[in-house]
Amino acid sequence: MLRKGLRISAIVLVLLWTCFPIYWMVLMSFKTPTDVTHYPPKFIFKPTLSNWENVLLGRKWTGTHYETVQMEVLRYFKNSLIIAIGATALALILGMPAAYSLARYKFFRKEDFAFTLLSFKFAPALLVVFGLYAIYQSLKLYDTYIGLILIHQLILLPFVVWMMRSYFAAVPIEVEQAARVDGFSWWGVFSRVTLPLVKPAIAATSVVAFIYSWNEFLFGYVLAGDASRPVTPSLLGFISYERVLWGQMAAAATLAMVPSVLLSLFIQRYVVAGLSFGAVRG
Amino acid sequence: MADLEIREVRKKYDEVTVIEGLNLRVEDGELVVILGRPGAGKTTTLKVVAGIEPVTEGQVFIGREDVTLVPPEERDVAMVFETYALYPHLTIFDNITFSFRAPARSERVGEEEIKKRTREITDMLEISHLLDRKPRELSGGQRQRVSLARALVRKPRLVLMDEPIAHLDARLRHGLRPDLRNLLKERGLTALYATTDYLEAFGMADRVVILSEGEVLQIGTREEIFGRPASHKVGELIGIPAMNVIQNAKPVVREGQMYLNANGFQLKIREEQRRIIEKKALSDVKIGIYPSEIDIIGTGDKRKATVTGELYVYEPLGAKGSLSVKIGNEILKVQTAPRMRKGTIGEKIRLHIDPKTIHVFDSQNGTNILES
Repeated sequence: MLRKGLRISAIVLVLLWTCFPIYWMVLMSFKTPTDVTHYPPKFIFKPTLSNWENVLLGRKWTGTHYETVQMEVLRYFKNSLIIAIGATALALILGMPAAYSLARYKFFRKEDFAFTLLSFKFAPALLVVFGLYAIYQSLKLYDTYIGLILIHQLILLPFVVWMMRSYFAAVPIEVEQAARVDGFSWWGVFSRVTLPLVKPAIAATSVVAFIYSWNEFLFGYVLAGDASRPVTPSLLGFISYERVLWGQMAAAATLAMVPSVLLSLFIQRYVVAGLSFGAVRG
Repeated sequence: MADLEIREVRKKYDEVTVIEGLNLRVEDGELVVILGRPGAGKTTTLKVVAGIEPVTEGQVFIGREDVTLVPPEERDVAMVFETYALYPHLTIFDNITFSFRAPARSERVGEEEIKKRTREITDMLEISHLLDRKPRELSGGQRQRVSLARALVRKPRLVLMDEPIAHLDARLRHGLRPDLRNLLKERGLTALYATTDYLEAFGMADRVVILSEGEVLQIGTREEIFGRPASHKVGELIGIPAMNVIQNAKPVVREGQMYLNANGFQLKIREEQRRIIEKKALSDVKIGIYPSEIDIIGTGDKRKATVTGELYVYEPLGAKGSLSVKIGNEILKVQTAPRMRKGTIGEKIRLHIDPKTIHVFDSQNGTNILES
């Protein structure tokens, strides 16, 4: 009983710790500028929708009428979608064959290869970003979707390879062998047996990869101009010399968070363990 | 339906040799069983024939055609895996009929025929009621039968079976053995079957291959193998209790007869065995005696005891019993009637061994001295 009580209070504590900033952000998106900067912080206040109207509809209530302002946040949102989907798809297309070979075949210095791939993640991105900036400028990749997709898939690739590798390895090799004996070519086995078996794993991997890409800040900040800027660096646009539009920034950030939250809820449904339960003995 | 020939096949994984120079012919329609302990190389042999594992050296022929380099999907063989290897995402019906969906399969079968054949084979294996389920909803024994059905629903050139009934309950295992053999024979299928169970091997096979550590010790019918085991290792693999093997027996000649002396034993041997021992000048041999060839001399029995020992332990084994008799430092297992009267430990037991039933093995390489 005591153990259970302690466990629950620990969980509640962690939940409070992680959820409070999100709660605060959502709260802030409904506050007027005076309420935002009020000290001590206000938990009870008169909510306003003006931040959301501004972010979503590009209209600003001036007191007597709506003033149309630039509706940029949704465009950045779309940019982020294009980049994250593109980068995830590319990383999966490139990463799955690599993951499969790492899981199934023996080849020269296989573990070195796998480790090198992972080691790309060790270096801080700041180390390469300015070199990349120069390269992107001369290759005309600066401020293009392709450019950002390429750099994002590079970040996602090691992750996709390592995650998918363990899922492929979890498919019993004898199931694939049985399908070969049953008359299917390598490709037939891969598409009709292996792929359906790792489908939940692909879903989980792509969701996590998508969230990685969606939340990426630095490359989107440095390598994109206005045309292809993703939503994360675009939030900085609410900070200017004269003022910080805290309320609108909170509304935009809340909006930017929605896809990640929805996708996280979605992958919970895939209990990835026990992926191929029932295939073999034991 | 075709014959199979394995010619000088060697298989190495990295530096470990799993199969060493394997030669085997399976005639068209023949059922050959590979008998060996776990790790003997049975599964590897079957996988090499199926084309799943490439050979390191040697050739495999199916129907006189060299298939050594032919991929598994083009060999037209069926295989039952010891681990079942079912497709977890498919229903049992789809599992069993999966091979009919393969583009490479030459056998063109209509949907009606597929259903009929599936019905036949699943009825025999008592799994017809499970066709709509997924493998994960089945018990181990049911899964094994599904994997058996998946192989037998086809009409392949060759059927490979890796311990296909090892994980079934005893009733089903016993019941299925004759059914399985009949089915293979009725269809005229050529089959290579691996098992660790000598009863299963000798009960089903036309011929048995004894495999030990990647090497073939002996190939033959039940009579050939029991009648003249090629090595003491063969004797140790067949029969429960297994053959008694007595080490370090020394030949001595007394009154014109040759005897083998081993701690506490003195056994007379046959003339033909004596001739070879003398020809090869063997000074140290192993003696092999089947437990079923040793008689206990009861009261009123006029036979002279070959050896005398004391009762050590008695185990009932269902249709028979096994009596361990201690003679010197040696334990001799004796097969008895199913329900022997209870004896007391240390009780004196007199045994009769017919010299005709004694096998003599060369201590150097373990082979039967009557071989070659």
